[in-house]
Amino acid sequence: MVGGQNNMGVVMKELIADPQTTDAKKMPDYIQKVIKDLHSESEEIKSTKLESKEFDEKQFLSAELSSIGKKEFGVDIQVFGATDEDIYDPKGKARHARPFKPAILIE
Amino acid sequence: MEINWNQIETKWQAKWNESKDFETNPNEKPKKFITVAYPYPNSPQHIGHGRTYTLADVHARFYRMKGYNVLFPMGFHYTGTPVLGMAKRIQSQEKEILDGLRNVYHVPEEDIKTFVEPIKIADYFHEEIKAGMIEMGYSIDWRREFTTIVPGYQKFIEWQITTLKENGKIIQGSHPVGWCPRDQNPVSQHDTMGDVEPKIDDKNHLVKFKFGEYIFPVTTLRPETIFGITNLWVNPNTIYKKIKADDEKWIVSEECANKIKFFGKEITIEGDIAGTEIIGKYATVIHSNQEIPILEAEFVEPAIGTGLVMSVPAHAPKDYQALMDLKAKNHELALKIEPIPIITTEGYGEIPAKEICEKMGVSDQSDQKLEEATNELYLKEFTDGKLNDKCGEFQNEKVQFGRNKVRDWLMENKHLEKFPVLENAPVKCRCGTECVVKILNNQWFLNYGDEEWKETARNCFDEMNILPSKITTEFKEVIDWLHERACARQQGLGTKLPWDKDWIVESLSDSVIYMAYYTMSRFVNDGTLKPENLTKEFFDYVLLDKGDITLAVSTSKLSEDVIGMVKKEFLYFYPVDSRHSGRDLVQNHLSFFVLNHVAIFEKKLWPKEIVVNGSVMMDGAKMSKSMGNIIPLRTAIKDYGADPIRLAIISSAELLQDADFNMESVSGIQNKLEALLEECSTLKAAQIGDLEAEDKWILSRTQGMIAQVTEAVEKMRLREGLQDILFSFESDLSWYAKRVEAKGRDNVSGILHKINSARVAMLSPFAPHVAEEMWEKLGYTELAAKSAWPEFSKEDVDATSIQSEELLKSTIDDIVNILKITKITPQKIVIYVNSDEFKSKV
Repeated sequence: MVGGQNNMGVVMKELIADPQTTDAKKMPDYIQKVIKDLHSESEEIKSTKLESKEFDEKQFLSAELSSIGKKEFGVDIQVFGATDEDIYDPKGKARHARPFKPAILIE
Repeated sequence: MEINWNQIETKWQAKWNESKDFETNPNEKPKKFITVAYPYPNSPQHIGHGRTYTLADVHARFYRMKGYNVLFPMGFHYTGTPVLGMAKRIQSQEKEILDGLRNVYHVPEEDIKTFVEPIKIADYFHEEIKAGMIEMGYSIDWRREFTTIVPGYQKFIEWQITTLKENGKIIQGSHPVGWCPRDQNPVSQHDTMGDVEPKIDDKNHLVKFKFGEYIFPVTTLRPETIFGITNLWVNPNTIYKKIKADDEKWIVSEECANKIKFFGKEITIEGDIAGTEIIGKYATVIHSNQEIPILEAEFVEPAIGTGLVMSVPAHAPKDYQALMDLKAKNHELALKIEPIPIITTEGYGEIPAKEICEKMGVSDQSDQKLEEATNELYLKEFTDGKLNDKCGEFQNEKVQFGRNKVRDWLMENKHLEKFPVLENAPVKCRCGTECVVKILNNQWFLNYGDEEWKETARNCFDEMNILPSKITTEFKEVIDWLHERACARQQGLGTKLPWDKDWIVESLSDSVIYMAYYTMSRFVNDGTLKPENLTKEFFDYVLLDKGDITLAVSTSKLSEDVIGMVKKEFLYFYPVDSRHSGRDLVQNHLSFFVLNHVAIFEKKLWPKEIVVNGSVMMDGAKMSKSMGNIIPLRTAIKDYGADPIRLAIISSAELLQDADFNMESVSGIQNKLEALLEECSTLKAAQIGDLEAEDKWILSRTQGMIAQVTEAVEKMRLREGLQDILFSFESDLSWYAKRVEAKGRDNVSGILHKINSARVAMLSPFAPHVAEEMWEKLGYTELAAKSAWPEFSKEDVDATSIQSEELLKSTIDDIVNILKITKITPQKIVIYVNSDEFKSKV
């Protein structure tokens, strides 16, 4: 992600310039949301994000969410990747998932 | 777990004492020399006094744990008149003082009886204050203690003052000083009620006018306006005095006659003359022989200046308005008067006073707006104005330069004299008498007005660390403003001037470079150095590296080895690494500290840092005897414990703010410390096995806390550091506890032990006694005070664990929020995480 910048135009320009992310122009709404997410975080968190290695969100949440979720809410919590084949997604929530912003379904 | 504070304090103080941890000698480690302004033992210590010492003690303990060899010494300042003042007030059975001693401080009656003798007061409170410092847990090297009237210290001061004189810093002359007419002594901050430094404005002058055989002296800050004068103002309700001032006959107010007695003039009062007898007559401007009328004005205050005022209606808004008021009443003489403009200033027309009065809509001479109008116009004319053709040879001079030239010209012609005034009057001496300005003749002065000296001091300030940094400009202003300062008195305790034994070096002059004496005082105290050994040649060689050792040996009768050892110790500990003091000492002690160091020592021995703190308020009010809200420090320690008091002082304010002390915060702190002690006693050091996600996270967060606290303490933002250790970190710990409990883990004792060890170690400079107790409970056998300060290690920060834990927390928060809004009882919760690789790349 483009460090320190939250002007949509500038961010988009830089993303399109990078061949890895050229397709960003197809999803302006998504980019806008990510910028908003980042904007609302503290500098401290942002800098650890830059230092942080990539990690598998699904794997981490599958491993860590169940114990605390059970304790807090008294039910089991299932974790899916948004594109998993065996996904249970009756309300079509999965497409709203963004990095570090999982989508949630409660029944 | 309820703590018996006094019991654990005594326990650990005994251990520190036993292991001589705070007795500091030179060694191979890097050093820090931390000092605080020593106390005056003229009254008991209250909580407010504890602030500076507590802050400095935290600083000293912090550096000790950082691996420095820290010297933190203490002395007692007996010099001067405060102790005498106290004795006088007790002698005269002053009720406020006696009540305070009896009812607030519970001084035994048999001790109070001895207090008529000044030295007994000093000795009593010296021991009292020292006991309080020990009870507070200050990490002081008591082997180096001294008072400022012991012979060794006096030798040091004789050397200091002689060196200053040799360096041309001490002059003899006539200068105005703040003066107590009853004590017959100059006064400074330490001698006044409420600790006010008398500020003398010596830019004030009186100009003489002729009135028959009499002289009318009139004071002014703007001698150049003599060219624009149109009349004099006299108060019709005042009875003026006819006096003889040396060879001249003057007419002045009674208040003025009393003031000028102290200006070195022979004054005799010869009779009265009513204001009404003068009004309507004419006075003569001496340099021009111009006749000007004397008019009535009730705004003339007899207590200000000479009780007579000169009127320059073109440039003084008050004069202009008073003249207009008279004209409005068809006053016959006033109608003939027109303003005489003498200054041209860009942005203003011919008569600036008229313009500004009209612009601001001034109604009459009692209008409050006149003050503002005056300030604005005076400043504008001073910076931008030019004298016009009415000013003779001074035409075209800028006001800022022309003013001094006109002044010097009038003075040469004897039409003008100095009339220094007390800017912040009334100032009262501790004996209760109102202070005056006195012009002292043939007095000894430190020449702080010397521009070259000021410049060297500014260099020192520029290179020094000043905390908080915003106080730097205040120091600059003080240096600009300082002028000659009396450095000797005829009364009080202290050291005699070596070359003029009638005089005693005053208290703000014998307390400026004494930190150097701490480096040798332990040798004086153990008898290695006797006062008679401390010769000028000895000090020159040890402190200034001047002369040679054979001269030092032959005059001091000490061996080369001893002299070498003393010199080595001085050069090891000097310069001062940090000087702590209250904000009220910025304008005198701290500035003099720098000025005298640069005047005596070479650059590498100049002080490195100054730390300034605000004072202590009690529930929002200034702590003072008259408010009856004083809490004696030792009483507070007995009732609440030293550590809770230390933390309450620190957590109530950042460095420069005034600290507001209240007892509720003390009990909150007690509870917090008790809970932490309880927790420490449940934790045992244990092998830490494989780390789970939450372990990696909390250990990384601990590193973050260490980095934050270390930075805060280094910058003396102690409140912030303490907050991080005790409170901010709690939310992380409780999240960790939740995670661990949810997983049903019981193998985290080792991790919690590790984390709390770091917390307790960092708490130890702040709350040293209870931290030792916690440290012991955590299973350590060495003292916490001797442990190493936790070092931030970047390798132990796992950024990924912080990010992933953040994800987990925010996911839980999101679920909680959804449940709150929808109010459903969940049967099933499903989470969808992003798996689009493209989205992650973005």
